[in-house]
Amino acid sequence: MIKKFLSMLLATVMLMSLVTIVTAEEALSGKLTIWAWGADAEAEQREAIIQAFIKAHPELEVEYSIIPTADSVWDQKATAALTSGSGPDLIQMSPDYFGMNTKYYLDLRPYVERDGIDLDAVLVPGMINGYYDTDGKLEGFPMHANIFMMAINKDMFDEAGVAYPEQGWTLDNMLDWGKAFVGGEGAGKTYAMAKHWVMNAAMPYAGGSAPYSDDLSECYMNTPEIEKSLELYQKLILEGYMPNDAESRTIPSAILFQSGLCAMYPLGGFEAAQFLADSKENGINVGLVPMPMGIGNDGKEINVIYATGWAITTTAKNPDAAWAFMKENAFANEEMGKATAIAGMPAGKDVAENYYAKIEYEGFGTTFNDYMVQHLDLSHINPWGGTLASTGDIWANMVEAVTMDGKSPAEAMATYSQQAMDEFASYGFSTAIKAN
Amino acid sequence: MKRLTGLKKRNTINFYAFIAPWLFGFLVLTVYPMLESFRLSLTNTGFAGDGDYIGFQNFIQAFTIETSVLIAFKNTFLYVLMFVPCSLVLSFFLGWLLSRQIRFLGFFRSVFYIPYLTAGVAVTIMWGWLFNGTFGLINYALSFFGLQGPNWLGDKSTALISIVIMNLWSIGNGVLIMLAGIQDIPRSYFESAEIDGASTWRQIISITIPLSTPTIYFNLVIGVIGAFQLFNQPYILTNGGPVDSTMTVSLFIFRNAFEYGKMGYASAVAWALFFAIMAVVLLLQASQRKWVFYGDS
Repeated sequence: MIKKFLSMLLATVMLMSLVTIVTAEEALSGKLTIWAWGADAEAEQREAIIQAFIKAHPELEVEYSIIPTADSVWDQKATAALTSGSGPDLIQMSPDYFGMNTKYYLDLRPYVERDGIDLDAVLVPGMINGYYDTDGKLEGFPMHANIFMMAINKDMFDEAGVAYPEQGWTLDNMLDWGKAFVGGEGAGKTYAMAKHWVMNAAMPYAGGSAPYSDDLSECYMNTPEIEKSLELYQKLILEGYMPNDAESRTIPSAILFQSGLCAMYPLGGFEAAQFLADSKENGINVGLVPMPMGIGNDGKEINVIYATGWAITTTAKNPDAAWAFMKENAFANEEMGKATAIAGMPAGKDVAENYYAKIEYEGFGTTFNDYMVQHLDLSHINPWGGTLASTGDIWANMVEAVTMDGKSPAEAMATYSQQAMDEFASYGFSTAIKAN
Repeated sequence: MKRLTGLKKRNTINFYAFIAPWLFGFLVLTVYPMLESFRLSLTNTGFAGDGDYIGFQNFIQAFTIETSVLIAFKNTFLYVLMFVPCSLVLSFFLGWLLSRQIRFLGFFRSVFYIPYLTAGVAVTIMWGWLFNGTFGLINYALSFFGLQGPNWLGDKSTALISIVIMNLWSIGNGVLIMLAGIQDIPRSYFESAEIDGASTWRQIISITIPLSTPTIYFNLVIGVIGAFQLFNQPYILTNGGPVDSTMTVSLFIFRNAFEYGKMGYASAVAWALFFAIMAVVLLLQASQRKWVFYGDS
């Protein structure tokens, strides 16, 4: 009798489990915990995204935290939680900041396959780049990305009689016409281009190559192209086209531009609204032009992607709800996509092209956001994010050696390139690739 | 076994009750993290917290393979050697001046102490502007004398010196401690010296300095420990550059732990810094018998 009862019970449980699996996509239930980072506009964006999801899924109990990144608060909390297995179901991550190459996230490929998603069809081209680990695992799913567009001071260009740069211009040919902006002394010193903090991440591409291969299997820090990048960077700074590192640390580059002291400023998607408003307030006649291309024209711009996405932790208690959130945020929930546009270009092709790209900035129409969407695929993921920061710091030393320490690019290469190669090798990416 | 009397028992209980909060904090927030960091230093723990035991490999790597650690230690020692003696001399001199009966004494005491109270980051940024090679006020002032100022923070030969100058501006606390020490010297010693015809300089050399040595020693030890931990200014103004010329050990530890995720390696370097500070302080402690004069000695 007991045996019969137990077998009935087991059969019922199995049947219920089956039903749960089959209906997982349609009917979510239970609790979903979410951790996001951010402050100001980013925090506002995360809040709006989560609220839109809650509205779409009243059946779910959603518990969330938005944690600041300042003073490494996020890094410490997230690291502690992931290590101890007490992390949330869904956690924010970034291929260029925090989280890649860890063992704490689920591989999302089975979810993509299960739902039959054609990523190329639903995501902005280039948006998923960087989310694949060296072993092929899809570690995260994109939320948004930002790249740069060059803001120019049209009055300075007009006064100097210099034509506005057009698609395909390079920093190499800027050495000719950019000279017109270099001059003055002391507080009146003028420059061709502001030394935005992104320049150290963007400049390795200036020589026409990359610091390492896309699949991270090879490091190119000892190539002639990198030396060419250094040579160019050195000229730009030593000949006064750009302020040097110490100068740019004391006078923020945006202020330099808004004071009418430099003709060009690489404008990030995350700062565009405020920057354009401040420039207008300061009477700067701003124009927007494409970012330069690498020498030799490898088809890519000297432009860097800062991307943010989500990952499901391996300890997630409700991975299906977490996946639903990621999927809807990326492309399947219009309201979540629109909320994402508060602080960046949404990952979904449809909302990016039909909503984000149509957002206008006063006096510029849709030029800026349209550029963000069209040029993402021509840009590079920030090369020195997360794990790769230590190689990035060696690159920064190479730059300082040629721009502040009187070394030639060849000497800097001799001193540092092997160090950079060794540091890159220490991450063990190529070993991981070979093992798979 | 001897039983405690009621009063003694109550005193004992009170003793432990009163020190318990501090003791708890000390054990949990100081001793435990130290032990944990020592454990980490023997592992290859990364950002994600997973790591294997590797013995003293981190220490070996730090001091035999990776040159940047040695550069960081060299810069830190250089900074200590430049900053600590200058701050001692300056704080003694200012403390002595402020101990004199001069007009607007209260005002001057406040003037020298206020920089110490000002938020460190704001002060650092302000000094960054002053030191700016192109439009900084310091080079502007030098230009009146026909001098071309250097690119203070952008030149590796002047960057660390700039940070020393910057930090000398906020030695108000040392000055105040020195002032208290000098004021503690009985007035009668100076009166006797004056009657004997001793000049002000002689009084400083023979009375003020010898009797201030306990205060100087205190400032020296505190100054050395603080200087070894230099972090804010290089982090904010130079990020260790140019070309690692302001890379200090604390900044190196921070970078490795929180930017590169090399928790184990950073812990090993942190322990090396701890031992370096301890060695210097022990040396100072051993030397004090020869030059510090306490009231009862």
